[in-house]
Amino acid sequence: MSPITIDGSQGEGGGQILRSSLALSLVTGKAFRIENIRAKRDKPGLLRQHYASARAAEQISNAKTQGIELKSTALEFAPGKIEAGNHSFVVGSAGSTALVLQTILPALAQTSSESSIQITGGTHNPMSPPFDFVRDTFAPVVSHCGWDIQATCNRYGFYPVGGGTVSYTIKKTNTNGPINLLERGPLLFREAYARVANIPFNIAEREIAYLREKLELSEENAKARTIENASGPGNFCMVQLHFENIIETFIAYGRTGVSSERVAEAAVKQIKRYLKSNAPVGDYLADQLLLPICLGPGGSFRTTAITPHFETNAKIIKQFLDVDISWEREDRLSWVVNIEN
Amino acid sequence: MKRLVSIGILGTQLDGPESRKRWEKWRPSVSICQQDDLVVDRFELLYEGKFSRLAKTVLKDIETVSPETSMKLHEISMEDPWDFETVYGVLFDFAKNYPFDPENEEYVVHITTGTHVCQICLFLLTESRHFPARLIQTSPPKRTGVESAGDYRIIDLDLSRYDQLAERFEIEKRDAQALLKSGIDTRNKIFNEMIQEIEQVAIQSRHPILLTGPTGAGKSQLAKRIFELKKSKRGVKGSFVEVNCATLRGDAAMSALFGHKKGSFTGAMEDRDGLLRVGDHGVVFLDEIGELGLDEQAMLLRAIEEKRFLPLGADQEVESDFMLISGTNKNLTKEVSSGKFREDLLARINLWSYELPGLADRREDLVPNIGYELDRFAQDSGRAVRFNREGRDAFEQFAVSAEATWNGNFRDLNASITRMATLTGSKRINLELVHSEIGRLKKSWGKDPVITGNEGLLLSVMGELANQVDPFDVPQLAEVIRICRKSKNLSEAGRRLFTVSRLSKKTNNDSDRLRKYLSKFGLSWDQVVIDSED
Repeated sequence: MSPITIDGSQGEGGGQILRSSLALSLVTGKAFRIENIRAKRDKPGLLRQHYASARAAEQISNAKTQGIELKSTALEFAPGKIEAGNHSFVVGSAGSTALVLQTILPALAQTSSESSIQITGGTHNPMSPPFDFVRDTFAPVVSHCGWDIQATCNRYGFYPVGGGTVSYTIKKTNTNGPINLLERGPLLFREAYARVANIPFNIAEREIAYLREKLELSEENAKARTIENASGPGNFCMVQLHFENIIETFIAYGRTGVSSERVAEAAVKQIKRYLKSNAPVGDYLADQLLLPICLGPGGSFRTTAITPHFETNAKIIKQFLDVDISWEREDRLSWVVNIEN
Repeated sequence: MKRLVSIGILGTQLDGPESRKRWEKWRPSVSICQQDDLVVDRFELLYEGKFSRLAKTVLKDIETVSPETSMKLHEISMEDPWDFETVYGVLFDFAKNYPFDPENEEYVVHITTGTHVCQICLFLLTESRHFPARLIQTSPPKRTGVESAGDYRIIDLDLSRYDQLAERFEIEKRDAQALLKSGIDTRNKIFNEMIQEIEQVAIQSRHPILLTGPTGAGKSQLAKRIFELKKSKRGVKGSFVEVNCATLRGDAAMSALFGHKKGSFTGAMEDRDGLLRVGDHGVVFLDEIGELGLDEQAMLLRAIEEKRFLPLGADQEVESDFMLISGTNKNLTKEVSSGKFREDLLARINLWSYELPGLADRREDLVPNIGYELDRFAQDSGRAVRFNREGRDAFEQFAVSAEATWNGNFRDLNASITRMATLTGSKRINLELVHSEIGRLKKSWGKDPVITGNEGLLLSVMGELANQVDPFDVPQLAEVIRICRKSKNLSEAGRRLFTVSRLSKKTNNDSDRLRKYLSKFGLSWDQVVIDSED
């Protein structure tokens, strides 16, 4: 069978195309060749982040590969048998541990034997899902697709220093029929956190003060804390909304020269936008749910947006799997996605 | 894929501080390992003992930002990191003892940290391949306050684009050589190699140079060029003094060279500085040095060795620090054995000795020199004169041929061009002028040179056209001519020449074949046999 050819420059033309292709190849056992990797980015080709993902995919599948090198803009990947069990990976330059996970998770989660993986790198990076999102928002939903994920953050790794470690145990379980995530259900409670590492504590305190005032949170549901064992400096504030059917995570990162209030305000803005809609699945979660649902029981969900990421992802899935993915707009912030497999 | 190994010196300022605040600052050594498109597999960090704490902090931080990188610390001891000798020595020893494994590893040498002296030494040792590495430079983020690893750049000194640097150096060298050759694009290998060496000697040495070779080979011209080259490189401050020793006799010789005091001999009306004194801090060219008297030779030896001499009639020595270039067309060793030249003086003046080939031995340089002489005429007379095409072809052809012996070397060539350029009424030297000039030259070299053998025979039959015959054809054509001369007529010659092949021909066309063969070289029967009737 000739390998599937993927054009890395389609859609937003970033690293997601590579990760999705690797994940799908691992799951389906189909070989692929990707060209024009990250063609639309300033530094095209594989950066450390993508290199680490490709190597991780190679490692768990004994794949035959060609072109996995830094700055490479084309690679070939032919997976062998998936090796569940213990694996550890490292990503330098504070590359995201979540993105490495994303690449290998579907294959390991479709295997009935349990896997234990440890990833060293960034745990809280802007531009990629934070650890808390993976554990609290993503894992509970995909458990309905038969993916059992237990997540632990042993050490925080902030951009640009990194050096955090996360571990996951992953295995396949049973499902209770198609996914049906159209409503949020009643709001149970809300929590806010602010964290600082190696910078003054009052930065976190001011963020919490802002969040409490704007979101009318009680003292016990809004807490500032110092992280002791992070390598470098870091700060973020996060709000989680616990609905009956979904927990959504909103995060904003502190940056040099940006006041604590401005940081917290960014989180509040995301929440306000989410609350304007009734859709349970936020922008970021939507495209990550596609693959688990396609591989699992199928079904439908309602989301706040169809992003370019989502569309590209859907396209690539259809190159590997015989599924039907369709979506329909109901309202400005409400779309229904249907998946039949 | 080869492992990437980075070698660098701990930047005691730039790689600091040790405090928690360090992450807010760009630190070059750490930044190499923070790049998202570069993975360093091993990092060799050189540090001085007193900075071991900082080195360990940097080590720990690199392990954090780049778990893929293994770290190695090397304690070095540079008492003074601003002292070239120490720093070079320490880094040289490190490079020498480092187990480079270019089969499996590639190396980058980080030149952003360390004192400037460290950076320069690292560059030099990398350029000289003591570090078989490329250079890596890091630079801070363009906008401050932005958390980023900044930039890096890898410089491969072996890459062709850095050849431009080397090339610029080459061009400068070529310019110097061109100056020595008066800008003439000479092609003679021996001459060019000699010029190459003289260039180096002229720039670097102030020792005496001896130029030998036949009259007119360009000795005095070259001496002057050497002076100009030295002057352009600031090797001399003074002026160029040229003396032909053949013109110096008796008291006048002494006085001209070494100077005199007023009244020291008849006719010495004023104090006079000798030429050697005038050449102080400059170059003195003594042409025909073999003609110098023994007394003068003794004085000259002292002047060279002591840089001082006694002018005629003076009671105090004067000093002069000059560089001596001597010229001669004599065999000085022979002169020494016949007692006409001091052995010790010869040993002094021929430290660098070059024999200039005569023009006849540099035939490939004749064409460029013709151009040079025309330019020189234009400069001297203000009249730009060129050959027309036929004139140029004919003259060049003659100039490089065996007929032209160039007994007077460049002096002959110069005179010849000057005559033709002067005689032409227009700005073009035509064929007619060239022919008469060739006649004049031949006459001046005495009777036509005796050229024997096949070449001589062809020359006598064909004149200048003989030079257009390929060496391949020469023996055959010469033999044909000889047989013709032994024969009564064309048919007899034909029969002799085609004695085998004619047997297999139906008709006898020997004379026709011979006529055609001769006409290929522009020859007729009459021309071929005319000489033998003499």
